[in-house]
Amino acid sequence: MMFLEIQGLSKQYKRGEKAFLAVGSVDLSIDQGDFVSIIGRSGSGKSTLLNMIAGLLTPTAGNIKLEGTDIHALNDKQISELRNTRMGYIPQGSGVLSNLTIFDNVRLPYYLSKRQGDAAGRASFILDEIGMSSLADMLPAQLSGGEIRRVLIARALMNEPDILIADEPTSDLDIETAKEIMKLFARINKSGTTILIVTHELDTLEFGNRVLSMASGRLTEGIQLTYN
Amino acid sequence: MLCISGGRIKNHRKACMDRKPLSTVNIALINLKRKPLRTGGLILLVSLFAFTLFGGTVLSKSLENGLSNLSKRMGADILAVPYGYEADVQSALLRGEPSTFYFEAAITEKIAGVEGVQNVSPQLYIATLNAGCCSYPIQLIGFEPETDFIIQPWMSNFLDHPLADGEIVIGNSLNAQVGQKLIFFNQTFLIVARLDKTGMGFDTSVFMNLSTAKQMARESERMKAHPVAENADLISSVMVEIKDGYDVKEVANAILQAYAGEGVHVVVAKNMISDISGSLRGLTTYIFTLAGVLWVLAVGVLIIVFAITLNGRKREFSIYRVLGAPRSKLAKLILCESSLISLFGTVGGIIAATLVVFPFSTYISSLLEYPYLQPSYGTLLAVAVVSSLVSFAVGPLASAYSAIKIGRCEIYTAMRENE
Repeated sequence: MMFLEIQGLSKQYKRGEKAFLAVGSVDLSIDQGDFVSIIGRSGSGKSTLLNMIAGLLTPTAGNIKLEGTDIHALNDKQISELRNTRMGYIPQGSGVLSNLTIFDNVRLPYYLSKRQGDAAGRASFILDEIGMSSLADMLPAQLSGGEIRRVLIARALMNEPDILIADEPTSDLDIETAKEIMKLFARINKSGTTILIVTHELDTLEFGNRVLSMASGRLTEGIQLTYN
Repeated sequence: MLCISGGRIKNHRKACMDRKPLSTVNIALINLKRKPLRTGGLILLVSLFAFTLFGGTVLSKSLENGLSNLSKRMGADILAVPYGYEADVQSALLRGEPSTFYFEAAITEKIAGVEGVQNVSPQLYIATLNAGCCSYPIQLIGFEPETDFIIQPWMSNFLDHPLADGEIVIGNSLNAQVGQKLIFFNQTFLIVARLDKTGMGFDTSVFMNLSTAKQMARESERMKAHPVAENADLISSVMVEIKDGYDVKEVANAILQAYAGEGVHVVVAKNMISDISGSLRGLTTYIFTLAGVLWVLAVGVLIIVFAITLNGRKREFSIYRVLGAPRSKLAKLILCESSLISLFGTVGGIIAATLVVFPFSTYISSLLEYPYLQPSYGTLLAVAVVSSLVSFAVGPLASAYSAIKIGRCEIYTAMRENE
């Protein structure tokens, strides 16, 4: 059984009277421990695909199976628990909660489903690992874009997920910071966590072990020559 | 701040453990704290409602209680007073307003002879001055202990002898104790009894026998001319109790017909009470209408505020969903925030009302000019509980729609809406 298996996945939006196919019949299989990068232009459908995989968007057709479980067949409580315990999601842009400190942002996922353990200890450990422990008590507004991205990664790792899903994790970052973020992903992947990212920056592809291209809602293996 | 990293930095372990868990209540508290202006405004609105509801209900209940007590223990069926002073006797009885009006004492016996009259008892009103002559600028009431059926039933302690010269009985609101002495017009008087709380003017009056009252009038003559000092046969009113089976109105008419020519007028106690009762109904309706309007206003404003902020917070809520919060968790968070607003507002409003209504009850009663008697602690507790529940319901009710609606949005779409 594949770790993640996608079959005939489609998403159709309505733009006024016209139907618009954002993702068209995508099939994809990912092994545990893979580092998969999906590259594509803006509007190619890659974020829509990623968000369907994360269970944040309902597909028009097709199914997504995580170790055999069709995630869109689950009810709200089940899919929420699955997202909380098995997936770490890094949204595009600033996806932090502005009211909470960095420390609270990182440890929040721990409290969204019932579990026992040392949440504060785990959050401190992760922040320390990514070199952010000195900023633990700050509010997100006091942090730079690169630091926020690190916080999002730390938060996604809080519940030790099986898969880390990141939507444009290096967008709006300078080259150096983007590289640091990608190196961090590589480190996380080495510890056994499956990583799936979507990006439109070619520089980030060297860190993964598999690259897929998305264009007009279709997914193909490798980098499409027409991309540039 | 560094905490535990595989046990490497142990000295920070305590600091980590000190952090509160991120329960729904704690997150809601943090969210409210980070928006102090909005939170403060909403709490103030709920407070205002709770204040009006609790304070108004206590006020209304106290007035009701005062009136019920007045009608139960008024004693007299008819009050005979000098013509033109009907309102003054009501002021003296209901509010303890110092009043002076007099007619001949002989009228007492004449009224006693009217058909249907059971008992009569004269009273003499002497107002003390606002000068330094007296311990209190209040109403002094002289009565005849032998015939009295008005004052003595209110005494909280048993008096084993008829009220002697130089002895006084004080109203419940006066700040003095039995056994103490008070000075009026340079004369010292011994307090021998205290009245129960009446809710009427009796609470702020001082009582004595007629001869002591007349002596006091003579003493007051040194400062200001007093009619009683010149004519010892004056009284202010005659309290009349009628025989069973007689109609009060008919007896009152009989008194009027017989003695109107001698300057006597009558006040029927029942009419006085029903007049007050009518005014109280108006006041109670006003209080509850105001509370109702404030409730609707509070719920309405909160509905709008929650709906508006909900739109602005779509991205925030979608982040919770992304992290694995089910719809029910978001609903709980919204309801928790609104419940906390309601709770703080309710507690604040009830405390504020308590600090105003109870310590200033005497001032309020004099301001309202109606009989005012606080209900029992049981009734007050019941009013506090019901007011708190109604006030507390404001927040959850107002946010219910938002709480239901928030879970219906598609997470990804909601997350992008505020980008």
